[in-house]
Amino acid sequence: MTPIVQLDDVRRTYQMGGELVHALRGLTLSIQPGEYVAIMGPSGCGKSTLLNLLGCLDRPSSGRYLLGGDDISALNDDDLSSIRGRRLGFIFQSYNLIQQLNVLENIEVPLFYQGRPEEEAREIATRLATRVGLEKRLDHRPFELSGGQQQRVAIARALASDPILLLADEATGNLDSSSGREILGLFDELNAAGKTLVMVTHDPATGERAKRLVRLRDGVLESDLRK
Amino acid sequence: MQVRSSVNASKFRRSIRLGLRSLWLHRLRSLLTVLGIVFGVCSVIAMLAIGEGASHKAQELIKKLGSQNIILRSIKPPEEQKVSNNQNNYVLDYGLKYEDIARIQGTIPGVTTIVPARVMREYVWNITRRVDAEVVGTVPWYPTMRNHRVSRGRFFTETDQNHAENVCVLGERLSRDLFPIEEPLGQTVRVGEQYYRVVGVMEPFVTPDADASASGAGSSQPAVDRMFIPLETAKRRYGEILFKRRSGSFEQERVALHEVTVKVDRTERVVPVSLAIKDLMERNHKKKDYDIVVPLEQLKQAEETKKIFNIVLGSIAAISLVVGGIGIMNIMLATVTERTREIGIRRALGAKRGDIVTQFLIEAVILSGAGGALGVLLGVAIPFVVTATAGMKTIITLWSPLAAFTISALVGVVFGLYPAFRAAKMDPVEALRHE
Repeated sequence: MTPIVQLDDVRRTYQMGGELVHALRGLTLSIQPGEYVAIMGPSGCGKSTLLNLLGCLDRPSSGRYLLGGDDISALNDDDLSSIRGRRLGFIFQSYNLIQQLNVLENIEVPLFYQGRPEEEAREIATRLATRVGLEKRLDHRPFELSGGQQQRVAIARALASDPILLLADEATGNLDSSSGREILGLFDELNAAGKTLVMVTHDPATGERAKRLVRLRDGVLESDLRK
Repeated sequence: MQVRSSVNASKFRRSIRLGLRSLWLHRLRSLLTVLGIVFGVCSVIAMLAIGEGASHKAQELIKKLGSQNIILRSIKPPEEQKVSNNQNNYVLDYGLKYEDIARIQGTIPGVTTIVPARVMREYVWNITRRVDAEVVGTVPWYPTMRNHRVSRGRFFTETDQNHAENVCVLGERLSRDLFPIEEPLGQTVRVGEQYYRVVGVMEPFVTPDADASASGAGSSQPAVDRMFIPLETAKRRYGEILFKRRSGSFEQERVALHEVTVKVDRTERVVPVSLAIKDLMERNHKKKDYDIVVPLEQLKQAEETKKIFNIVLGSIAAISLVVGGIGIMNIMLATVTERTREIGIRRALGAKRGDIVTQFLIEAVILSGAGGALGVLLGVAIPFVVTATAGMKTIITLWSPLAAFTISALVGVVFGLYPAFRAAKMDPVEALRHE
């Protein structure tokens, strides 16, 4: 089976104030379809960089990244944008909803950029909002929702284009423990339904929920545990 | 292809809705931003309408004089005036002569018709009603030449002319003053010892207007109305010497003709013919006791003035639109910075650079377009208010609101491009980290 993610000796260096920062120093990692991976490690270990690379928001300085079997290292900005919209779903720590749009419209954003017809987008958004339990708040704006509800909108939005990979960056970091549990429950459900999930977290308890735990240190793989 | 273009159209429509919503979120800011364009567009349209109205009126008056006409007038030479002040019974001899007409007609090619006229300031009587008027002795073809037509009855004819009949045609105002109730046609008026039968009434002249006459329309609007009699009649009844009442003394003048209108066959020949006439007159008149008015030249001058006026207005318009555009650029730059995070989110969710450019460009164009539309509305309304309150004629040409609106929308594109590209060039990772 083609792995969802295949990283081969990926390096990423930044120029920071005249100094070269080696955020990733040759990482090789493979993620199969249906996996639920937690990436952990101390700050500065390169997990954010890794997540940006996985999310096609950034490109490796060297090495190869295959997403669903396609090499993305050589793609231009427009193609990367298109891949982000069609194949990836982002869930952020601070939800990152667009404030002037309501729940439905927020969920529709990725579909809008794919040029999907309005009625189809509306139908998908309604279905997903129902799935995350927000069917009664379709026309609410983000500031009218609790943190947990906002994160659920973000999850519905990440699912809108039926991506092959969901990327969560400290998705429960801003939530109280009960909302956090709800979100993690939702992740379990999604994974059970076959979605491939990668999440970055600080919290060991959250990391425990995943089926595979990848630890990074100083830009290299420290450990890779499967349960 | 069909499907794709319809999808794009729908995407575009939704982008416009989105832009409207973002702008509506900052209503006051949006309104203040577009004020520059509103005032710019509105003042230019209003000023153009007022300018157009004024110049149209001046041109109408000049056209009434006839663009193929050259008008010569007798004027009293200034040095003669001094002499006449010292010697009371000196007879002033000046002005256009019958020989001048003959010379013009005989030597200058291109001259088709000549209308000579003698003008005498007299009281015109209807029984006991007295009106001050100019009695004009002229030829039967005067009305067609001067574009001043008869509204009732007829003008006098060749026959009247040849027989030196005592017939007259009254100016519209004069006929109203003399005959407020009765029908003037067929009535008799008295001038001095002579009685004249009224055979016609002229149509009213374009309403005289102080500023229009200052712009050089000349004798087309006499302070008093005119009464027309055959030239032959005038010659016989008045002779060569005219008496003028002046404060304390009489003044005697010998003036053959007061006014001569020369018609040229083609418009292109008006200027050369006028030069030839000038030349001819200079050779035969030692003193400058005449004046030559060429309506066509005045028309050209009026058009030249209008062109300058339009250039000035155009510059004001350009400056105000640039200022307005800078205002829009300024606010769009602030918006882009403010919405950096939103840009990051959209990029992460699949927005291409082009999508971001489109989004911000649409907002800029909505701003400038709305400003333009508002300016057009105000600019079209103001001339009506000016006409209603100040009584000035205003003309709104169709192209001015259209051009103003289009250009202001273009201003949005031009000044929105830089902020939009700045937004699109942001690194998505950086943008997402922005607080």
